[in-house]
Amino acid sequence: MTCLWTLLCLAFIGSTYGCGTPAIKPTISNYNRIVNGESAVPGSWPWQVSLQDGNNFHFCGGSLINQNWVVTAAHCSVSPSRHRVVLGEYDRSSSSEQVQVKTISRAITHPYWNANIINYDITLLKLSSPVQLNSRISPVCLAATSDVLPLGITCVTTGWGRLSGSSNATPAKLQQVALPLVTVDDCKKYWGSRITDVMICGGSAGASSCQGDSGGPLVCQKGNTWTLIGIVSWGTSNCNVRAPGVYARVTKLRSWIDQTVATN
Amino acid sequence: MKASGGIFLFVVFLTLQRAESFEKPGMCLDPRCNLNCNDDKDCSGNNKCCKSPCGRTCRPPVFYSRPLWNDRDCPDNLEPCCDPNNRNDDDDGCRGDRDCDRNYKCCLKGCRRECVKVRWHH
Repeated sequence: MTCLWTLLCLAFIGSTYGCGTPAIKPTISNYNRIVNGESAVPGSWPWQVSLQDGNNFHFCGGSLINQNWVVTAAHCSVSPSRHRVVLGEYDRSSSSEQVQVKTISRAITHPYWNANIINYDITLLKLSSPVQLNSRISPVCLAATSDVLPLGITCVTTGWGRLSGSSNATPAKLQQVALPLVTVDDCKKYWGSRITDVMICGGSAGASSCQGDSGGPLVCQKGNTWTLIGIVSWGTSNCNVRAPGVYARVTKLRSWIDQTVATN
Repeated sequence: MKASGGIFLFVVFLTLQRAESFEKPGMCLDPRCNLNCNDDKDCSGNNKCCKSPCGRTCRPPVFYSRPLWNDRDCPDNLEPCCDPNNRNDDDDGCRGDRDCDRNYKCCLKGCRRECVKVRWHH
């Protein structure tokens, strides 16, 4: 009986803080069109993490994928000894939030990472101790290798990055922006052969793809579940609104993620 | 007189055209790093625009009054510096005294090593 209860409890915890299902639901006011970013509902993107240095400076985003691992971009150059992961944060100007600050025991970058062409832009961070999941901290689901992303699907990217190419100011509150995925062909029309099959493009004509810090999530909703399909990677230096933003393509990186998490 | 004025305007026009077309064609691939500033001008007060692991940010400067290594011939280093513990050797103007002219030494100025005039002790 105790055993059954334990199982039931585990199942309950699992369903409460399972992957891709925020306990606090996000609200996207302009889901069907591109918006220039808006403040998120506090706690509604519970996998979003902030990577900070010793001076509490936020330099990159990341996504929690389970209690021990965070995925971010390789170009964020995370150093386990100097940087840490802040979870459950919403307003960076507030000191009263119930955040969890974790040190990093390992940073594992993809062996094919190429900084010159920003390809295979992914690093896995193992936290020094498992994070305590709650209503504001829970993991995102990872896209499966075999997932086919339907055309015309609208996805969301989140981060504390700047909201326009013309201002250096960064917001205190976590921002979200809905943007359509761009086909590889359309993306190549803009970026040419720089687009590899380990990249996925989002945003397009009139859309600012400047939002979202490096390393942060590009998630798409399938039913009630949010799935990580991209990692914020690169774009134009002036955040040109006609240029698609480029993300690391999670479907192509999934097997490496699984392998790395299983063996470390 | 009129003709010379015309030529002058034409030269000004050419100069402006050149200035405008200085930017080379094409774009840069830019990692989406947190960029709070491009240079010190963008930072308020005495904050400096400092490199972060990914991008740049405004930070209060650190002043180092002594050289990082014990060399009393170097003048006191009163230039502000972003992070003396995280200096980038690649930014240095010299690696050692032999890179400098006579009467100059390779000293720290801010976070960067430069050839500076020797301070003689008696």
